[in-house]
Amino acid sequence: MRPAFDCLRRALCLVALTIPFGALAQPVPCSRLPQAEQAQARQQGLCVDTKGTRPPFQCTALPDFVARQMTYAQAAQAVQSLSKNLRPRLKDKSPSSAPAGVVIAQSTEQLDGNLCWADFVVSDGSLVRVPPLRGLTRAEAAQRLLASKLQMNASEAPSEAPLGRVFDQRPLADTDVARGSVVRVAIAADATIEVPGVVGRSLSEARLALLSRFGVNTTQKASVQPAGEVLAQFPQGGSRARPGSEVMLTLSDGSLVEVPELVKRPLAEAREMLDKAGLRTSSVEDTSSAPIGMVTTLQPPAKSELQRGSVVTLHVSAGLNVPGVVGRQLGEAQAALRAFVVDVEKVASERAEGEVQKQLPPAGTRAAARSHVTLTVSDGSIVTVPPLHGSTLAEARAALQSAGDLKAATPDGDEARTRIVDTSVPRSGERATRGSTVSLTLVPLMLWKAWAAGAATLLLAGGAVFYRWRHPRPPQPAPQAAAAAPAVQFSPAIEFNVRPIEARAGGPQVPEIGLRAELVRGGARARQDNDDKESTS
Amino acid sequence: MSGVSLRTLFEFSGAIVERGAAERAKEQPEGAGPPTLVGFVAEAGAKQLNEVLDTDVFELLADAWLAFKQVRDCADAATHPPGQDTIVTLHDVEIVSTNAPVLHSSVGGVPLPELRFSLGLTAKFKTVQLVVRDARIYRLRPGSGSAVVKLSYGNAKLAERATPEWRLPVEIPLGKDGIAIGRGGR
Repeated sequence: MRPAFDCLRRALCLVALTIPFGALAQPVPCSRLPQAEQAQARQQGLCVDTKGTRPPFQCTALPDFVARQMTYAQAAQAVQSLSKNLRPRLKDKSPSSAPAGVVIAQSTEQLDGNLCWADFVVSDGSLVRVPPLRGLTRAEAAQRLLASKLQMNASEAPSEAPLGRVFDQRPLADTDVARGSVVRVAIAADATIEVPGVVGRSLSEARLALLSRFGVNTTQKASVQPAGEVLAQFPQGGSRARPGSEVMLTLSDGSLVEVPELVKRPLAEAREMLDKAGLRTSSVEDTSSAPIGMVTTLQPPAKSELQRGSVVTLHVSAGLNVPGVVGRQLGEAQAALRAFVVDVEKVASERAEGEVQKQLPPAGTRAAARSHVTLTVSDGSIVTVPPLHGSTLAEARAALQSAGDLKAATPDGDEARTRIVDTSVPRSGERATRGSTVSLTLVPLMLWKAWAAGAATLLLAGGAVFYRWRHPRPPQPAPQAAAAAPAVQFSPAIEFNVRPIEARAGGPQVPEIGLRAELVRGGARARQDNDDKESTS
Repeated sequence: MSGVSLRTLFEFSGAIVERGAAERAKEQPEGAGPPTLVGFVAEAGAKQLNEVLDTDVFELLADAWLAFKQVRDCADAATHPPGQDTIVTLHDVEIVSTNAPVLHSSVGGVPLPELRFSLGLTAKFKTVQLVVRDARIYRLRPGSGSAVVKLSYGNAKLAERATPEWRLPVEIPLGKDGIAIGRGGR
């Protein structure tokens, strides 16, 4: 027996070594442990609930009876049909906005043993639910509250919500309140005020008008307006904005200048206006029909806005060039001067009738269009008595006729062919009215020659002697032509300073007459009336 | 310069020369001699004199502007920097310039007493602007004006011409070098 026992013991030891030790430790039933230790031991696995132990009793779950009308009988019937363990219990009616008798809550509660209470909380219908009022008008909100048997207490308050709409309510929507309770609603009122207009005012004036109600922010812009003047504002004047909001002001920096209207103004006045405007001037003369000195165009044009100190080019009328018409016929002259008003003054002259003798202003000057140009025009009434000395009467008459319809008259009426003209009244070279009569003195041909030779000799010799006596200059060689010229006659065609006097009747040359002119310049005195200063340069 | 010559304001005629010669004869009764400056000779003399009147009026008046203090002040480089145009405006200006047209004559190479006229020019300007730069007057803007020319021989007044409305160019350049303004003025 002993070996068999040992062998069994060894086998048991071997089994004990080959299987986990824990498997051999049999957990004890939890029910055997003290109740206070059961939970911990169960958690640590030191005890197990033995099979055959009854699970804890749980109440049967109730279906959802909330919002259903429920009386006690109905509750008992419904509960009994679910489980015999359930016992219905209707709790006191609770205040609620649900209709009276409607289940507003349900629960189960375990009794001792296998019984449970099925509790139902039933509404007493004493409350109403506050409807949502946001976004409604005052009338709509009032109507809706009336339908809910509630009263409305509305008040206006500034809000960004649409004007006249409810933007808040107390109590809030979906809150249950007692029937007939007052619901306060806030209706959006206008929260803005009018922004004063400050455009055109100075910055200080604008600040004064705005700062008590608005903030001010400024930016600058190049402008012709005075520096600091408000050019624009946002929001604009007259619009509405919330108090304390910012008003943007655009201010002029005064750096621009507007070109004034200068056309048709005198140059000096235009310059003065540009100086005052802070602009510089450059002038250009143009030939123009505008009055002289008047601004015709300007570049850049008027109303342009320029930086202060910019240059404005003024085109100034320098008038029109007055063409030269002296020596031309009146009609031709008038055509040439059609841009001007031509005044004609006729004068007695030996020039051809209608020939312009003089013009004022003279040729080459500049004058305004439609200004007056005075032309002195010959009426052709004056003729020059031609050289008649030594002519026969027939020759003299022909010469007088061709010179200007002059008529010849002899005092004695002698028209003998042997006589020639000695003198005439008017004399040769003098002027006479066209068609007038020239009295001729006739002398016999031979007598005239002798008289002429003698007279010329005496005249020249006497003149030469007289000048030698007045101006005794020994080195001066005596002019040969003046010595004893037998017979000379002055020609009306003498050109002084060019060549000596020509002699028609031969003989030595007469003394040369020289002419020379000069302008000796003197000083100039200047005086200015406004300060009465006088100086001499 | 301006293109406005003294001749546009006044012209000699043969008759004026003859009258001048007559005045000269009165001054020299002992040696007046024969009346050589008459007729065609006087006309030729007038032609010679008119040629010398082809002198620019503003050239004759050039130095007169320097008489004004406003102009002389422009020579101060401290107040008028070089290269900068200064416009001097003068109002109600009157300038009197007296010049002497002289006619020399000779017969057969023998000089005769000269005929010295006196030609007084009185120019009035309502407003004159002078453009000054670097102490020189470069341009002149005379505006509207009037002029009177008086011709006399000795004490005898021979002729007078008035130009109440004197038409002048808007701006008169005074040459490349202009008119120098002496520092310190006159």
